[in-house]
Amino acid sequence: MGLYLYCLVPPGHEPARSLAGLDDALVEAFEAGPFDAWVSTSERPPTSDLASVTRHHDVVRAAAVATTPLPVRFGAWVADERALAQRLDGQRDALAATLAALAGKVEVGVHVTDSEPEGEDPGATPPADGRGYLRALSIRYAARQRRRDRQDAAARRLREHLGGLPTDERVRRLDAPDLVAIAHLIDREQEGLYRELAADFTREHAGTCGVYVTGPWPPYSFAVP
Amino acid sequence: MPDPTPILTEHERVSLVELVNRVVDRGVSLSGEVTISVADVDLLFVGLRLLLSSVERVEGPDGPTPARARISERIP
Repeated sequence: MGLYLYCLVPPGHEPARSLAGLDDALVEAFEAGPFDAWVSTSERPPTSDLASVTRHHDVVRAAAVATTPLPVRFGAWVADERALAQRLDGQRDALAATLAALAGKVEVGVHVTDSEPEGEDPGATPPADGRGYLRALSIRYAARQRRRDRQDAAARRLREHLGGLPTDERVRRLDAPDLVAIAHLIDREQEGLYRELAADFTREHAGTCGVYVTGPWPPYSFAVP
Repeated sequence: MPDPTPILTEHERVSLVELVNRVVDRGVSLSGEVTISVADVDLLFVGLRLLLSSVERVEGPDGPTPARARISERIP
């Protein structure tokens, strides 16, 4: 019988008896030395649908109630316990180190949009000739660079506003009109302060950009150093 | 008959996209993750496209607006 893997946790953190994972299979702890792996039995890899993805996250989130889990990416299915042990053996030290480094942390997401217009779309009218083609390329490149500058500025302004609260950061550039999605790693007990500062930032920039705070999340974005 | 598709607020849509991006594209990647292939078609890839459709279906009864379509397109 196959196993589906959700996350890694420090030893001794057991899932609740009634915690159900994919296909309503009960979640169990598989001891793997310096950590436990939360798994459930599954005859086959999961289907990639929204219900399965959210169920995966529900299990990881359940682990995050009492500890900081190391989330495993969706889709990690193995044929049996021996295969699971082999997969974990190959990265055991690195996984243990990452799990230890994330202890006491949570991830907070910030999604930033802005209202600045993107400007002329050089692709709206097919270029009549080579000069027109080169002009369109130039406009497109300049617009892309301006957008990158706005994305970097948004991330920098938020970082400065938050001070030293985030201990790590991941920035993902987004397509217009959304700007950036930022993941911040913070100490669990500082979530309240983080939200206050994010609310201040939102008020200061009302009308020019939208800021949505999501989370706290288990540290998905920081599972790989 | 009224369309049962739930209408999400902008924040709810952002949260959903953030959830999917994290679970599908982040986290520890164990070597040898299994993806089922049939006729050399990676069904995980196909599954992600189905996932895109799933997100679009919860975006509202009026169908994808440019903002909503954009959210779908960003899912890897």
